[in-house]
Amino acid sequence: MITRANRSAGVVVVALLLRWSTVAAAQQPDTASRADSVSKANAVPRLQNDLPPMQRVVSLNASNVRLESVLDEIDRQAGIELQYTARVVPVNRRITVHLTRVPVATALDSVLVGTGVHVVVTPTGRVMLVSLDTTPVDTGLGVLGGQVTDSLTGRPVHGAVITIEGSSVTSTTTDSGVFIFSGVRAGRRVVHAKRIGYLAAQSTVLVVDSQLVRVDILLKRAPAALDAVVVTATGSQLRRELGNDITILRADSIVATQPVSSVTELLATRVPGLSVEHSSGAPGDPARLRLRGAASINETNDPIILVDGTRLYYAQAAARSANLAGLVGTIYGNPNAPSPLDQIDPNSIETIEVFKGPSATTLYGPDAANGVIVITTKRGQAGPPRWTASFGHGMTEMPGAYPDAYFRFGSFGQFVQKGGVSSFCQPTQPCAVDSLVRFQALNDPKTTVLGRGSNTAVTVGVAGGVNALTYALNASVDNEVGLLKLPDVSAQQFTLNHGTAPPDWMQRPQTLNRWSMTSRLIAQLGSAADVSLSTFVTHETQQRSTLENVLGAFMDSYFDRVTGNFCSPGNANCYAIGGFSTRTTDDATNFTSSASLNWHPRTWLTASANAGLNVISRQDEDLHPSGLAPGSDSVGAIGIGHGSSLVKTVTLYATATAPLPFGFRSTTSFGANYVAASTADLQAHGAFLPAGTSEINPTVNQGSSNDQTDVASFGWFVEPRVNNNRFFVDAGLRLDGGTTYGTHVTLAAFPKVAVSYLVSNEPWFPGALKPVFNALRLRAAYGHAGVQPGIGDKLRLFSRSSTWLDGGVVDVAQLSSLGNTQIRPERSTEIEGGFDAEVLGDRVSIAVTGYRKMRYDALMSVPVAPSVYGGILSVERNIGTIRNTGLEVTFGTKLVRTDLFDWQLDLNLGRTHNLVTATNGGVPIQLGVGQRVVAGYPLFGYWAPRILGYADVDHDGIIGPSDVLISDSAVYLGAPVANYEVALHNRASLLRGTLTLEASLDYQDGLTQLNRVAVDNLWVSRGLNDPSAPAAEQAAAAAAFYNTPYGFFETVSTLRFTALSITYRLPAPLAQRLGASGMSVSMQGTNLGLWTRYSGKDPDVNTLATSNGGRIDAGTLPVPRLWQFRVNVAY
Amino acid sequence: MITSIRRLTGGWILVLGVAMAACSPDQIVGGGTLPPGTQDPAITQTPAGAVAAYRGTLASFASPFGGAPYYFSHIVVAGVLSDELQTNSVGDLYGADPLDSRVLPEYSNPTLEPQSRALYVGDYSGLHQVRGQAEEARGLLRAYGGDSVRALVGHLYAIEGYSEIFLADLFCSGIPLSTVDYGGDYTYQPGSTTTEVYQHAVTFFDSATALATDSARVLNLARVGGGRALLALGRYAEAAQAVAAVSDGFQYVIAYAASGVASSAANFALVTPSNSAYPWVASVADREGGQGLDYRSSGDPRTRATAIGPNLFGTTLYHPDKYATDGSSPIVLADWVEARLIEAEAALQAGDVPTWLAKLNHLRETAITPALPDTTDPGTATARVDLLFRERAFWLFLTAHRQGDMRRLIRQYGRDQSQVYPTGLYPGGTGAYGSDVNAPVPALERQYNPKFTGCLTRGA
Repeated sequence: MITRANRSAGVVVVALLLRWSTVAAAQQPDTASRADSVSKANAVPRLQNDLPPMQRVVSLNASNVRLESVLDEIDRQAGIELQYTARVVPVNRRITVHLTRVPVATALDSVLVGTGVHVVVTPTGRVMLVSLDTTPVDTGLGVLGGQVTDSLTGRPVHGAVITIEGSSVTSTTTDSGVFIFSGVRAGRRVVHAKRIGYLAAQSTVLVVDSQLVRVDILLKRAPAALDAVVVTATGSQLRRELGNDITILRADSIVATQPVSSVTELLATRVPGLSVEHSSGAPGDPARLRLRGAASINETNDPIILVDGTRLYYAQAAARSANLAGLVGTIYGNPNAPSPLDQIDPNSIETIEVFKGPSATTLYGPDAANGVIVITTKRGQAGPPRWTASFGHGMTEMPGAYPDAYFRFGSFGQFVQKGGVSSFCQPTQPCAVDSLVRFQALNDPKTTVLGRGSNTAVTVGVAGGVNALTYALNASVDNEVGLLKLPDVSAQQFTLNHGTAPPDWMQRPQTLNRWSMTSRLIAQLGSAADVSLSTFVTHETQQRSTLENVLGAFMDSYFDRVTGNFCSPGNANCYAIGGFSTRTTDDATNFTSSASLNWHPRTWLTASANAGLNVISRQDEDLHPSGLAPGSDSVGAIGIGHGSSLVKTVTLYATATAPLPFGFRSTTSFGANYVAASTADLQAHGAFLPAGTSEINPTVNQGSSNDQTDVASFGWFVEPRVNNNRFFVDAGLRLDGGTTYGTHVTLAAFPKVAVSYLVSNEPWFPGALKPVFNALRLRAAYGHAGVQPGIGDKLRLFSRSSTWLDGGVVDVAQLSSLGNTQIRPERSTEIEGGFDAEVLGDRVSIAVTGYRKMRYDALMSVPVAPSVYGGILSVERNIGTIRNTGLEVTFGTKLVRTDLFDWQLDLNLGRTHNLVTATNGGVPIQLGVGQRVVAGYPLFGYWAPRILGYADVDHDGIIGPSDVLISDSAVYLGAPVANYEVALHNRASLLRGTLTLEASLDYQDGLTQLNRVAVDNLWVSRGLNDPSAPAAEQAAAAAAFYNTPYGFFETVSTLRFTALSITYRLPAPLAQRLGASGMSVSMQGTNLGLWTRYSGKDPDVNTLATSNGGRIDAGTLPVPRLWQFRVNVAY
Repeated sequence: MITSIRRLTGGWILVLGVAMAACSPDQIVGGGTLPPGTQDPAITQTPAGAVAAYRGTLASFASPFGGAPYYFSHIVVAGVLSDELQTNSVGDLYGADPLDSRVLPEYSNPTLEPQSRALYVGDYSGLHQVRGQAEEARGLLRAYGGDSVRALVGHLYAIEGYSEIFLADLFCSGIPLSTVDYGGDYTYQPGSTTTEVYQHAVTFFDSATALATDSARVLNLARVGGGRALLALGRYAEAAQAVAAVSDGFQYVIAYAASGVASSAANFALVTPSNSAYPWVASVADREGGQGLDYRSSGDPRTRATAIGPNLFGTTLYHPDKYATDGSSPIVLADWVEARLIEAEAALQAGDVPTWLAKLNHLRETAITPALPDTTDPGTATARVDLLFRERAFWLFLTAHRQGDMRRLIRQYGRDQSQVYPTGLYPGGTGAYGSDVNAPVPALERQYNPKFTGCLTRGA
């Protein structure tokens, strides 16, 4: 069957192959509909004729039948002209096979298992069965080429890395999925194909001297599959080799059809074990990410972020994550600056891998104990430029209404009439009530500060190149306008007072404008090396105003229509809302660049180097123009903040492989990693800003401060691995030094070991289970990772300042830190175990992981009794032990899979139980109002004196303060994190993917939150003002007013309709008529529904979200509802 | 193949070993060295740095003594608990002022208490901060200051001594005097009795006197402080002896700047803008609770006060004339007037009535312009004590002496608290004045100091 030809024919064949690849590209289902004639039609459905032979679909259902019958049936269904002889193929072998709608390649692989027969596809498309044992010759050079296609869609897979076993030469598939090697040594060759997000695949072919041999490779998508390629700290590995559970998100496919505008949105609900808590719904506001729960009290709980190997500055819990200008902070409270993570354009990302705990992150170095998020940007592929573009435009709004406020009016001797309304009756004072009014300024169209927002996003990308150099470029522009608007009445007042309309920034104070550019170049340096250059630049301008800081004040204000003022019983005053008069701007540029070099000097040795920089520069401003606000607020002021961060990352490692006895193979990596992070911030402010100016110079009462931190760490690591393709053992050790470690601890050692066992590949795996379990893997991992102490924790520090003393300003130094020279890094250990199963073919996939993560030597800020230094200082001590245990389940199933209708359902469940097991000798740590760290209870748990009971003792018809009995000591009320979270993602595809519907739900069970805005606005609570309120509500309000906010800690569950999208893919001819090769349109929505018993607006608002722990709803703006229209175009 | 494996393994071990030996991670990142930044402790490990720490102590003292506008300085807290000041009289929105109404339990959870109920907590903290800062500054001066800093060290002893007097005056018996250990950690101490705290202060003043021989200002400060502490201990003759060398005219003041000149430098008497809800949180009292002295109605120029308008609740507030309303007035910490008063009391205790009276009249004739008319001997021992303490109250008005004197009247002169402190119906609430004559050590001390178990007694 295989014939020899002269060598010159190879050149011709290469030319033919290249031509064939062009044709193949034109045959893609979504770009062309040309139907080849079929020479041997049989019963092959016409649609299958368009597919390459090995991709045609067959179904087999036979028990104990001859192999020849099965092969005939495959031939009949697929029309592939199957060729073989009985001398090679054991045709009389009896087999049982049950396969439904699988590609021919899969079917043949299944029925030929154990026969030693291999499948070869000739350049003319014939499929031959050959015995490799009878390889005729092993001399000469041939040409090997083929095409890599997606097993699900049949589309070509670009960017797949193709290697030939025993050769250091690699190739990358083109836009058409084609690859080709010339000068391949003749004989049996194993071809490997890898692509992030797909299962790795391999195929064995016979290369014949001077001939072209074609091999087509199908890659299966691998959302949770075992052979997905994962980028670890020591290079690419197959997922099945790792003993940890790792979540891989294919960002490009998610972004294409789902409403995702930030990396945070990309991660939310898609990673079991990851909790995302929003700080507010203002455009660009950051969220808190916690992987497998928080475990540190004072040090960071934020995961580390790597973008193409480079650390990103991501100290979300640091004070400097807020606006740096400082002026607003001294008056109203600083708004949060956008998260550096969200400065990465999600459209530029190829994959995101989430490593959740120390057992997986040991080698990533300091701070890896909180998990690692590895982001890989898109890479180009050889071929002509391939353009993509998308345009989205949407509208945001606040769903539902705010709870009513209750106002009592009447006579109260010491208050005069204010602004035309009766005096407010103070809840604590006797008052002759004449009316009770329910009102909510935020629900009244005239007074509300909530309007409709909008967002617009445009993205353009191009990728292409030649084999030696590929490129991928991406650019995007976003513009978001938040919900806040100046109340109509305030705008009218402003116009009346100033003779001109308020400036735009006052009228719509929340805006975010961002542009981003990403590029990645990969160059082949000869046959044994490649270099990759990756860069992204983002510039954004976020604008806010103090209007949002007075949302709480709006909520407890009554609008007096006579004077146009807002009146609040809280301060017994009426006033024109002046909170709109300070503009806060955050102007940030994020530049990240990395260079990676991969060198394969030998088939058994590779070496890699990566160096990267992440620079973030921010210029913040608070501008309070003179004369724009009413009353004493009319004095102008200005604050500026300049901040920068610089993170340098250098990683070097080498990996050597060697065979071992008994079919085992060893792989050892050895390397070093250096990370240095510096920040430098400057703040300055001044008051009495002259009208028309916006500089500090002419102001008085000026003040300034600066702050600088420099932290560095360096670690060696070694990672030996052994496997026999079924059993994988992975060990590792990292030795770290860090600038912030104590003087007595200079070298911290973090070991790890992981085991992965693919039991379904064992010969002894029961045959009866094989049809059920496509794959079954057991895994376990154990590892350590650290968190650095804070800068200065080990030092006795002084603050220097200029202070007025004895008639002049002098330099003074005062203790600011007592210091602890014995300090050590926090140490986190984790053991996790679980299994992965692929059941019923690829119809069902399950991954279950249980973990137990311990944080030892947790640094606790131990309060120092006032008798030492007034109680204003604390000392960091390694005294805490915190345990996180949990369970993560990923379940995916293809409920329906037909030509016309495809329904995929994915479910993620994450459960984390947190417990402080040891503290400062049992002494609780008080963290703030109600928050404590107490041994035997969850970290950051809420505590408050309890309402023991209540009764109308004084028979005045209401439950007042004297009617409520409150416990002397505080009791535990709940943890500020959900018991568990379940996310459900549905994806239904109709008409072979022409129409796609996706819907997601998210359920969180039992999180405890303080409804702080209700406590702050007790003056207008129903409990204190309405005698007909339920007694429990009255008691809660009375208790909160005098002593304990017990009644306002709420443990609630939420069910949220998180996202819906409907995508229609235009028919190829129509798209082509519009000048595109493909086009789709989507209607998308987020935050579409919320079901909860929470008494506030939305429990998913957490003012403390940028802090280390805790959960308080202080009345900031919840995340709004979004509806948007989106168009995706490919050229 | 086995050989190649061995070679490979051996090679890696060799590489690892060489690398580890040649290049420790700690060496590379400079672990153990100080991070650069503005808070480098090395900046205080110089003569100038040590002096800056010394000045830091003085700045630390100015705030809890008489700075900190509104309600957080020792003069105000002690004045409100005594009969010098009263709060807005009708209580606040949370009910009666515990300090003013003398109902001061040790709150189990002070963080949940309204701020006004725990004002003494800030005073307690501020005074202890002075102690800790002084201890650290003394260590720095001794280590880096050279030989010329003896007076500065003595000055720090004196300031720390005054802090301890204030603690003993205001708080219950059982005050822990924990320490910041220079160059080391810190050490918790159990509660010391009121007597022990005064005795401890005496040792500080002795040290100050020994060290500050070349600074008359510091020397006299220490002398008056020593006399004050000895007086509190009932060691009258020793007290008189301590202050004997303090000549007329000596005055040690803590200076403050007007509001707006420098932040945080104004004194407690600062009156905030008129549109504030709290233009002046306390008011000069007059016969508060019946037992209080007639500071306003006596017309005495030493305690004169001026009405500055109604507060939020319509109550007229009286501001002391001796302090400017912009907070710029200096406050006397120690002076010759106090020295003569100490001598007068010692004379009275010794039965030398003429000397006692002469000392009082000497002050009335020379310490104020125009001079006050001489006072006369009331004829009885009790009345003499009353006169002595009235003179002290008027001369030392709003300088943080009255609270200590009122406790001394109970402790040393056998008066009942109801004869000294305000009693009867508290005007700011629905109940009567309580019976507390001091403040409890804040609950945080019990919570975090394992050696502290609470007040030993709550008596005078």
